[in-house]
Order: sequence, then C-alpha cells, then structure tokens
Amino acid sequence: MFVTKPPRLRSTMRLALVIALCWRSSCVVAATSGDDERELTTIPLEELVQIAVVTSASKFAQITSEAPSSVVVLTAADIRDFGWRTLADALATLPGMYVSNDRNYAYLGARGFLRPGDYNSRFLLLIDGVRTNDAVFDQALIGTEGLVDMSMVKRIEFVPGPGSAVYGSNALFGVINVITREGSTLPGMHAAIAAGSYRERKASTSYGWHSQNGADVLIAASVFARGGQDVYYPEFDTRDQNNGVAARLDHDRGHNVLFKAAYDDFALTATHVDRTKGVPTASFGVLFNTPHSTRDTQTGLALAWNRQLSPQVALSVGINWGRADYLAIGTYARVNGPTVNVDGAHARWYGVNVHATLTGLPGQKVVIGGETGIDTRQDQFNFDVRPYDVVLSDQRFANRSALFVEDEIRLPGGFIINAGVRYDRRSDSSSRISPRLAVLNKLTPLDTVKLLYGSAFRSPNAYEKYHALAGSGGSLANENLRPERITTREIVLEHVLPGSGHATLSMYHYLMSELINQELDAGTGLLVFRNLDHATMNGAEAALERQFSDMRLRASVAWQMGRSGSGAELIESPRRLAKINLAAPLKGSYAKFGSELVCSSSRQSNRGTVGGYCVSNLTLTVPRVLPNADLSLSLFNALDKRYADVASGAFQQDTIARQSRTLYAKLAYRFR
Amino acid sequence: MKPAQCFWTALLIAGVSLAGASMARAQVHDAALKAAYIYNFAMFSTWPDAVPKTPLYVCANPGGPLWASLQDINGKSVNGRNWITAVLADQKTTRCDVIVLSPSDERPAASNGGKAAVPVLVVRDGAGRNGAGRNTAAVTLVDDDEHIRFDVDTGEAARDGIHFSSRLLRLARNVK
Repeated sequence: MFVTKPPRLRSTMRLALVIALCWRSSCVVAATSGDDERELTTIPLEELVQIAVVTSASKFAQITSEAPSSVVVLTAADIRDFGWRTLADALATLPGMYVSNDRNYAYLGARGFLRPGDYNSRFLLLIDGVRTNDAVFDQALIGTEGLVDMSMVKRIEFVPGPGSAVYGSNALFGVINVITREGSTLPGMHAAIAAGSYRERKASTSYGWHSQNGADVLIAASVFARGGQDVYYPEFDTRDQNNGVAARLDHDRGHNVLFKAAYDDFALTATHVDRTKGVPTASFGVLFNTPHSTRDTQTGLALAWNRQLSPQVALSVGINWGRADYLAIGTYARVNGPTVNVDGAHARWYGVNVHATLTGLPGQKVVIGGETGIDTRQDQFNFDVRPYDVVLSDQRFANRSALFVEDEIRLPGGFIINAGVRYDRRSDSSSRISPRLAVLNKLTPLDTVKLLYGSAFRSPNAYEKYHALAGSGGSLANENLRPERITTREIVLEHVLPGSGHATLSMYHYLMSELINQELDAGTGLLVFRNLDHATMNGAEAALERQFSDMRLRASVAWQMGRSGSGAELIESPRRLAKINLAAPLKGSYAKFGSELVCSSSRQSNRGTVGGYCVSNLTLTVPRVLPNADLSLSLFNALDKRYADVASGAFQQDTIARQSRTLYAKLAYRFR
Repeated sequence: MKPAQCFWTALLIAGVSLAGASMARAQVHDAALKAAYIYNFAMFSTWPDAVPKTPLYVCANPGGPLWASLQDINGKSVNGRNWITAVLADQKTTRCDVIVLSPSDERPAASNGGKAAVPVLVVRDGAGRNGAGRNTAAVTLVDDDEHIRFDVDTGEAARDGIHFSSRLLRLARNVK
C-alpha cells in the first residue's frame, strides 16, 4: 500500500500542499523516502484519516505466507485499475487459471482442468464466507450473472487446491471468497453510469452509513443491458439459416441488489441477481437464429453472529438461506413444426453452521465446527408450450451435515503444521472423509516452503443425475453417478522481496478419480454424465507480485499437463499460460494506466485443436475528472485478437469465438 | 497467435511498462502512514504515571512491517517525551509505553489479562489472525480500500491504564 505524491514538490512546500490538495474526504500526500515519517507526524490526525492510499495486494503477503496454500488476494484497487466487470475477468488473471465463455455463462478452469458442460461446480464460491453454489447445478456464478456488482467488492481471495477439509463438497480446485464492502468503506451516496460497445450500458448506486458504535449499513443496486453483436457461425451457413448469422440474439441484461447491515456481533447480508442472456449459438439443439435465452435469478440471505467469548475462545454461528431459479426458452423442431420449449430448475436451500476458534493451547490454534442443511427443492422441469407437453418433471430434496476440525500447530525451528479433516454426510450420496495436511517451514525470515497434501470431493448434482430429455439435444439421466474425488500433492516456495512484493513457485500433482464427465451416449446420441476412470494434472506455476515505485506488477507463468486415464490429453487444457498485470500512474496527473495481458497456448477440442491466444486489456482511470467524479476508460481485447474456446457436447460447433475488441467508459460520482 | 500479433502485443506491453517506469512518481510506504497514526495515538493518550522529559518507549517486533517506519520517528517529541523505538522481546529489561503488534504477533504475556503491570498503549496493525485475539488491543489500525482507519476499545485501554482524549475518540471508526 502506497501513498501517492503530486509531482514536482519542493520539500518545504510539501505540508502546505498536502493540506491544500485535500479534497474533502480524499487527498494525496507529498512525501519521499528519508524523512517521510517525520513529515507525516506533523499532519493533524483529522487529515491523516482522510489520506487516500493506493492498495497493494502484497500487504497480505505476511498473512498468506502462513496459509496452508498459495493464496492470492485481489483488491478493489485491482478491480478499478484493470476495469474488471465480472469475477471471471478478475480470476482469469490468477496464476494457472483460465476462463472460457460460450456467450451464455463464463466458465473457470484451473491447473489444466476445465470440463465444457460443467457450470463451475468444481469451485466453491463464497460471498462473505457463505456458500453460493446452488442446489441443482452447483453453479458458481462468475460472469455477468454474478451475484455481486464488482464495484461492491472489497477483496477477492482465491485459495487454490482442495478445500473440502474445511468446506466440504465442490472445493476441488479452489475456494473463491468474495469479500464485499461495508458502509464504513463507502460512506454516503454514490452513483455511476457506464456505456460501451454493442449498446452496453449500466447504472449503479449505493448508500453507506456507519456509526461509532459499530452499526453499519450498505445498500447497493445496479442495472445493466447490452445489445450484443450479430455472430456468424459457419456450421449454420445455409440460406434458410440466415447464412450462419445469429442476429440480435447476443443480448444481455440484468440487475443486482446488495444489502448489508451489522451491529454489535451480528451481520446480515442479502444478495440478489436477475439476469437474462440471449443465446446466439443454437446450443442444446434449438433452431438456429430463433429466439433463445436463459434467465437466472439467485437470492441469498445470511445472518452471522461472531463473538470473542474469552481471549482464547471465539465463537461464530451462521444461518443462511438461498434460492436459485433457472429458465431457458428456445424453439425446437418437432414433428408438427417449430415448437417453443421451456427448460428450467428451482433450487431452495438453507443451512446452519457453527465453529469455534480455540487459541488456549500454547502454539496452537484449533478450529472445530459443524454444519447442517437441507436442499429443500432440487426441481427440474421441461415442457413444450404448444401443444403443451411435459417432457421432464423431477422433484428432489436432500439433507446434508458435516463435522470438521482443523489444528494449526507452531513448532520450534519455524515449522507450522496445519492439519484438518472433515466428515460429510448427504442423504443422496455416500459419506465422505476429506483430510488435509500442510507442513510449512520458514527457512529464513523471507523464505517459506510449504508441503501440501489434500483430498476433496464433489457429489454429483441433481442436474447431472436426473436431467433427462428425449429427442434432439436431449439428455439421459444417470442415477448411478458416484462422487468424484481429487487427491493433491503440492510444494510451494514463497520468497518475500525486499521492499514490497513476493515471488511464488509451486509444483503439483493432482489425481482425480471417478471424474464426472459429460459425453454423448453412443446408442442414443443423447448427452449423459458418466464417471470416467481417472485424470491427472501435473504442473508448475511461477508468480511474482511487486510494488516498485508507484507501479504495481503481477505476473505469472504456468506449465501444466492434464491427461485422462487412457493417457490422452484432456480437452480445453492449455499446456502453458502467462499473465501480466501492470498498473502505473501517468506523469503529471492523478490518472492511472492499467494494462493486462492474458495468454494461453493451444488446446485440444472434441474434434481438433483450438489455437492459442494473447489478449490485452487497457484501462485508464482518471480520478476527480470533475469535482467528486472519477472517470475510467477501458479497451478490452485491445488488439482485436480472434480466439475461441472449446464447446461442450451441447453445441454443434467445435469451438465458440470470444468477444472482439470493445470499448467501455464509466463515470462514478460521490454525492456530498 | 501469429508472430506479427505476438510482436505487437509484446511491444504494447513493453511500451506501457517503460512509459509507466519513466512516469513513476515518488511515493511512500503505507507503513510510514501507520507510524504517523501511532505517533498521533501517543499524542492523544495519557499515561497516569508519565514522568515528563523521560523517553517514550515504543516496542515492536523488528521483523514486523512497521519497524523501520517506527524507528524513523526516533527522537521526536511526544508531549515533551522523546520517542524511542525498542525491541518488544526485550520488554523485561526495557519499559514499554507503547506496544505495536502486527497481525501475526501475539500480545506478550506480561501485559496480557487483567490490569497491566505498568500503563501501556497497545496498538494492533490489522485484526488478529482469523479473529483470534482480536480484542487484545486498545487501538486497532484497519485497512480499507482507500484509507486507513482505527478502532478504539476504551475498556481495553482502561485495563491497560491508558486514557484517550475526546479528539482521538471522535475520529475513530468504532469506539467500544
């Protein structure tokens, strides 16, 4: 974290300028190395609390060096500087991660593993520590369907590797924890408007309030719409299919609401998203260039109570409720001609969790906890509208409960042992035990080595087990699906760089057994989920985070190899990834320039190979362009790179082209 | 990726990097700002047993992120007492008027639990690890997106024999 300095300041003028430059609640400080602290100590406390600072993720290095994983933290400053509009944009810049998009949802891959047709069920997405993966698809919403507007995000913590020892199902490849802002960090009224290519526009507002007794309220709402582009698919290039052009079908619109309230030891969080996306790809066998859209709504409510019962005992209790509804409307060819079909799902769930953190034993921190919950509705349905014909009507529910314990033991010689185990029981699946062991050693004050072993599982979800539709683009149920499991071994070396920053090197071996995979059934030609024998992922990642001068640099390279049990290379599994994120101020102004480069090597698809790419995104942020107003301009895919992702079996296409170059401008205003 | 496109991409990134480097302006580490905060906390705190013109010992862990910035304040006057940064582990031999803890530091047993042997102002930089020991400081420095805030626990301060001025309390984010 750094304090920025206006250019060309003479030392004798600094203090006067500090005060003069303060613009009500935000000001910048003039200071250089040497006598910084003495000068800062001459500033009254009233003005110290108003100094705006630039955040660097490296401030978390000390905490993360003791974490039993190679944790990466992205901050609100990163979100601003690089113009990220979705969680997918942010996560795509992490070491070893990659994102695909089929113009309906965004999909996350890690360490050479991304199964087209899976809705991010191998990642656990938490909002303020509360699970958001739904009860039918286990979907982690990371695209424009995301639960929280990115301007309301304070921090994104990504913990790679298996997290089932603490969190249970779904935490196979990592846990994403999104920490939202509070009223204290966003006081008063804020509003923003934005516009971009292909008739994209967005409006958002928030109000934050905080009292010294700890009472805190934040309410935020946003609404967006995008016309989208007409997309050409050669697979449908016939005269009766509009020569392969899907016209006016790429639209996207939605809204988000966030409400947070906290007082004393209680915290309440409510999230809501409603998004409708046009689908131009004719996926799942719909007639090409006919109206096709998906609508996703999700609402979450969580109440938490945290109390330090004694200096050695902290207790946390939480209850949460969630609902998710999905609706897809498309036109299919039937015997009687084109027919509108509706596919959908309703999920409802609630849960209670409790955990205690005990620090009474010398050199130890023990976390012990349990949770229980019910997926009250896991309903799926499908029907033709006219003539009305019910194709699928499936209602399910499930109970789940779990117990876990984790112990962090500090030993002489700079050793930390982190051991944990969790027992999960589900009414619709077999019981699971997930262990984890991490041995950390501080070789020097700057160097840490971590040896990690972990195991995680994922129960097959209702969609994979019970979704059955006859006919073209349909699917088969498979009630005999078994949970898939991953066992991982990893070594991580972390080096804290003098000044501010750190370098990380990790090597891993992941073994996945009973992998749940979507494939086309040879007999019927329908989509079906089956357990494959196993798959392996081996690889290495090198990452660097560095703050030097006013610049912030994050760079990483990854080498990875994902193979199925037969030894064949996994599809959508790039062997190499490289990323650079650089944020630097512009001379003579408060403006900041964020440049981003995300590269991937080629990947195997179902029918061939899809080429590698390097995509660059540029964002210019100009604070106080008007009194109380900040402006940002972004150019995404700046060099207009043509690239594509591997499509799942639900598509006639082998690959789906990604978005071409787009412009985006945003103006944010603070009311005083 | 075609070689030409690869070249232009590399050139773009290199150009931006160089532009950024040449345009970089001077700045100061946030530790300096936090040290200035702690200096102000000391200014607005009262030690009942304080002897004028004696040194004000500020104890911290030399491996912590604030150590260098605290040392830079050495010799500066705090209400007539000279600031001296000392090693926290030497507390038995050196009196501590202020203890500065990093997020991973445990509060020393000598000043833990019940009334402190001598009045001491305990400042924690950030919340304790995963909530453990989060209430064991009179003042906690809190990072938020763009600012640094602080929370005051007057009960904890009273147990440690410290009184705060109303000016300090007025500017705190939370007062307990």
